[in-house]
Amino acid sequence: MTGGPAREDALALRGIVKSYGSTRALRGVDLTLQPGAIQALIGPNGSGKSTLVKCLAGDLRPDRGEVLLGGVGRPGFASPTQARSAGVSVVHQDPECFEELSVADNIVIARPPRRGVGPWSVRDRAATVAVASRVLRRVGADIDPRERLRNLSLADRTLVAICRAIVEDVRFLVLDEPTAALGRDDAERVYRVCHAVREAGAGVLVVTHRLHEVVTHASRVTALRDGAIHADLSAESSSVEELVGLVADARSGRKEVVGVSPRDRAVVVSTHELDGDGYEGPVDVQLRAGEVTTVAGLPGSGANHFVRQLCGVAARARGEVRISHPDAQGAMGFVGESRRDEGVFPDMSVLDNMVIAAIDGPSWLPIRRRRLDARARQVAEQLGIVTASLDAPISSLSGGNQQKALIGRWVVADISVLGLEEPTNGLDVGAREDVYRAVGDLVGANKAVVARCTDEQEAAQLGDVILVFTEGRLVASLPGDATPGAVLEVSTPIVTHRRGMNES
Amino acid sequence: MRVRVEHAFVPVTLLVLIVALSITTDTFLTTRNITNVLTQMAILGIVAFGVTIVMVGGAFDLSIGSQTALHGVVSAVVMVETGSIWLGVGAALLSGLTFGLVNGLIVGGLAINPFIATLGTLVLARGLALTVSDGKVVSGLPAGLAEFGRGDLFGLPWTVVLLIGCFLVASYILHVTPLGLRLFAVGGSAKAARLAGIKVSRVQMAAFMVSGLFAAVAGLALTARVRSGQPLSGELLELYAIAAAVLGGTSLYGGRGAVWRTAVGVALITVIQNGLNLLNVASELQMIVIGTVFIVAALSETLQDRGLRFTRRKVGVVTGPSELVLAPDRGLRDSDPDDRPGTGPERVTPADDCAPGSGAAAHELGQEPVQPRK
Ligand SMILES: Nc1ncnc2c1ncn2[C@@H]1O[C@H](COP(=O)(O)OP(=O)(O)OP(=O)(O)O)[C@@H](O)[C@H]1O
Ligand SMILES: [Mg+2]
Repeated sequence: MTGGPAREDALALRGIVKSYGSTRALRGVDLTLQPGAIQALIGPNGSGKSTLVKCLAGDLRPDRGEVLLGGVGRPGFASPTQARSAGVSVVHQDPECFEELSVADNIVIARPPRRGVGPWSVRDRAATVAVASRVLRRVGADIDPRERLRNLSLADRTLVAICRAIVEDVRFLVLDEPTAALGRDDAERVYRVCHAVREAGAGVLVVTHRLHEVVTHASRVTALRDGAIHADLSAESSSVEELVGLVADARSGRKEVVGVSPRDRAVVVSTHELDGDGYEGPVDVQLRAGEVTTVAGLPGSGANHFVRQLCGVAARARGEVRISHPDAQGAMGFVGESRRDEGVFPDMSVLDNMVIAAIDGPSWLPIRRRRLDARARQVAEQLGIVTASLDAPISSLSGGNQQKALIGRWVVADISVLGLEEPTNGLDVGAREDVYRAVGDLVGANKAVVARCTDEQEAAQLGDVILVFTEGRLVASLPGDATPGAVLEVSTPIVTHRRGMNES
Repeated sequence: MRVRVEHAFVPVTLLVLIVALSITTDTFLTTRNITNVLTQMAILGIVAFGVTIVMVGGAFDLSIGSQTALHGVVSAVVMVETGSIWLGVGAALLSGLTFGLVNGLIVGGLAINPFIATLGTLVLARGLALTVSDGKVVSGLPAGLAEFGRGDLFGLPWTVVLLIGCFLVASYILHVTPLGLRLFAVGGSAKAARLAGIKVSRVQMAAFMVSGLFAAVAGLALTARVRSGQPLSGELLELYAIAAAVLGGTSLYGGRGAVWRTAVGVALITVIQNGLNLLNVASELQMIVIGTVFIVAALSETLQDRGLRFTRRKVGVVTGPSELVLAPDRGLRDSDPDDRPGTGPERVTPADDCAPGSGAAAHELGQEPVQPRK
């Protein structure tokens, strides 16, 4: 039991209370991490998981309660540095990285290897690369340590952040949604690291919304709800369904399956011999009104490049994208995979973030706020955005709720084509259904949606048409009733080679 | 609206200062002195409102100080040549818009870093001002201008009316129009703004044009007040304007700020100067005090930010004001044409607008290191 007496070498939180202004994020949480074990932390969006992680990291100071380590109690770590030197290493949700530095420098940033004595020592670049390569190998990531970080995909960045956390010896490793942006293989890599760390005698805490990971890898699981411990049980003996119940029934009756009610299915966007970096063309596909087109493919398959070019976000090498819509200009919306860089305006209110793309009319005349605000509030309600106030800055929302607000932005803007990358990235199971329903509403209103989904489950569930990319090629276009298994089968390289092109 | 604690220092200091000055001097809380303070605020305030708009959009405008000189001189030359005040006004506004457009094209269109770009146009504008005026003070303006410079509307001097007008216009642009909201978005994250369908360079261009226009209004106010075109006026004005904006809580990285808060920053700077004058503090000492105040204000924000570090990720204000107080030794005095020995065609006697009080106080007011005033 988590609340039980802490072992000498355990890391324990006792009665942690933390508020942000009037929002009570944690209301007295007890949690014990045992060395040599993987523990999972689950809970709906906004239940306080990241806040708890920040308290462990020394990033936040709890209002009340204490952190016990090696039998010593203290009112929370004073700083991340203190937590780190106590052996507690943390990878935050959407980890901060140094864009302009190399991968190797990012990994060793806390303590760069040096050469020479005392004040005369200088940075040792060769050692930096050597150390970084070693850690990257340990993680099993195929990343060049000399590459600039800004050239990396979100998945690779996450792996780099994990490398940074384990580059020095850790007693406790804490990962906040490390797999949210990762495909199956990379997620497996992360868990291999977790097991290696566990076998070395350290404790691991993993926050995740992917409940099957919990059942497969963790030994204990703690569920948070509304800032308090809701359940604490052995993960080995629990089932995914049981865990879904722990996370999802906090929400009231939001679990209906997507009801797609297709309309005229006219072609809205078509690509003509599209070809670009990251995949081999020519690709000719069509997006239809009232349909969801999902683009499946493992990271590196080219699916992400294709979707970005299709949405006009990345430059295309050859070919063209035709939008056959009466008011084509500005008819396309896009929600990128990185909320922080490409989505939110952190200091603006949730409401402002949601109406920003919908504002029309002359730049110099007053915004007609009333209609827009009413619409945004309505959409926020539909999507189930949880916040004390829509006038609060969006940065005060939990990750999942920020994601909903970003999708809501385009619902408010009433665009005719919406591009999504990993639409349920970081969402709890209940919120995922909210987003699926929002997508359902969009196509119900005769919009076209294209979504890149690394998760084959999602690709199959959401898509009316499923495009599958493998190793830089469009290998299949499956109908909406294809099973996740079928999607996975064509997207796995070896199988594809044997079967050749399924369909064009 | 919730007031954020971290921005409380400057307004609270201002209030404390006003109360303290009202108690310790019997000259502060008089209609005359208040009008005087407002007049002194005008130039700095107008320019600071413009730069706030640019800064919220994530850019900088360092050229506004020399721009006030340029547009002021342009108006003076046109007035002298044509004899028409209104043509002069039109010329200044046009010159402001054009210069703003140039800034905007360089920063928004060519994607050159605004700091270095407007540092370039800062020098350029000064050179243009000296060229247009032939390196001399432009005098011999129409007589009507003197009346305008002295006149008032419902008891408020015209410069104060302009200040209030600019405050309202800037607030309207930043907090009411689509342009304003888009500026917040662009300043918050240019990449996200682009993906949200905002034409980033166009928005920044508009902000620079507004800032140029405001610099033109400031230049006109200055010309009217001193009844001449001063090619060397407005030096360091840009730094004080940025300092005022940052004191009020505008982020140096963009995406955060409010016109009324900049107004509070401007008021704080001006009231401190006015108070020191009323207390007969020597002008050298005044500079030391004001420089210190900037740093203390910056420090208080830093400390509060550390305290509140947990609730906010970005700490935009932290490095702010202390960086900006680059030349406290020169003060604002250089920007006051009245104080430039030998440059003013007709030195205005300070006695007619200073607070009632001792002759010494009146003298100090004439010497004070504040914005150009009549
Ligand atoms: N900086 C902040 N300022 C104000 N409120 C905040 C801030 N950060 C989080 N909150 C609030 O605290 C609560 C807990 O948020 P937290 O980020 O810990 O949730 P979470 O469980 O990690 O959710 P998710 O699964 O979506 O990441 C939420 O109600 C959130 O709105
Ligand atoms: Mg979280």
